[in-house]
Amino acid sequence: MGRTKALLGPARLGLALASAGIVLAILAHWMIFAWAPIEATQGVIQRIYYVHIPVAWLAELAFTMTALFSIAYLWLRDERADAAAMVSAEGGIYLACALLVVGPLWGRVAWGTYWTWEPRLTLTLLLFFIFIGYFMVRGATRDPDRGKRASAVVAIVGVLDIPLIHMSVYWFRSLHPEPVVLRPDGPTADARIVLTLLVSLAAYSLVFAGLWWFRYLAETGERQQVRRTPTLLPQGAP
Amino acid sequence: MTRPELFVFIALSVGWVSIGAWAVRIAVKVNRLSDAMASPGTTATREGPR
Repeated sequence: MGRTKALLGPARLGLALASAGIVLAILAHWMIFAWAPIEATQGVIQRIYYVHIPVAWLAELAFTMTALFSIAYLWLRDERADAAAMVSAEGGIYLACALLVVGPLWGRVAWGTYWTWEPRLTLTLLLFFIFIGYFMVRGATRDPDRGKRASAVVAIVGVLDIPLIHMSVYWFRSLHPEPVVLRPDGPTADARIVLTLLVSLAAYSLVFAGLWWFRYLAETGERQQVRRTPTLLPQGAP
Repeated sequence: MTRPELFVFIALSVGWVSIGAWAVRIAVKVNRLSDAMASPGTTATREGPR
């Protein structure tokens, strides 16, 4: 009981972040359906925007965090950095899955097709496969430390895809529109659409941060517990 | 319900279902870790030491 309490103590931060996120999510859904205007050219389907942008932003943030923690791990050889990198990649995979479902639904109505090999879609799918590869590389080596180092390199190389995803709408012919919020001359979208997007972004980000913290505590706790558990193999066994 | 309305409903659900799926995985991990901490000599991972 005391040990469970010791586990739950630091988790309060995660609980606070996730709870705040859930409250904001309720507000965001009220704004999406009752407050934000229906966009003039696309109609109702534009409301997918309020989930598409948050999951895309968080998936890319998660993979960027994976790369940064991977750099820290390769530099410092600190297990906590590897745990943080792995946890970030895991969260990113879940959100990338959502992104790869939500985007095609919007595409079916807006472009008339669920999928097309246009630059941003292709590069996003590539990013997803790179981070699937991150986990495959981790599990593919007999020596766990070697797997951690190799997967860190995959993350650092893979994250270079993210700037390409963003710049692809400027560099190549793309079906994706240019940004309507993050523009040097200010957002072109209606203020209520922008505010609804920001609340939805905050909701997803807070819930993600809370879950990330829970997962990080679980991962580091698990690693400590494994280290404390005596191995059943005789000394010198391969 | 029109197709765009249905797709919006599915998309908004998928976003939170993915977050929920991760939360379930975390809950399973925390539960297993809590059990392992309560009974010394067992590991928290199914896979064994990494």
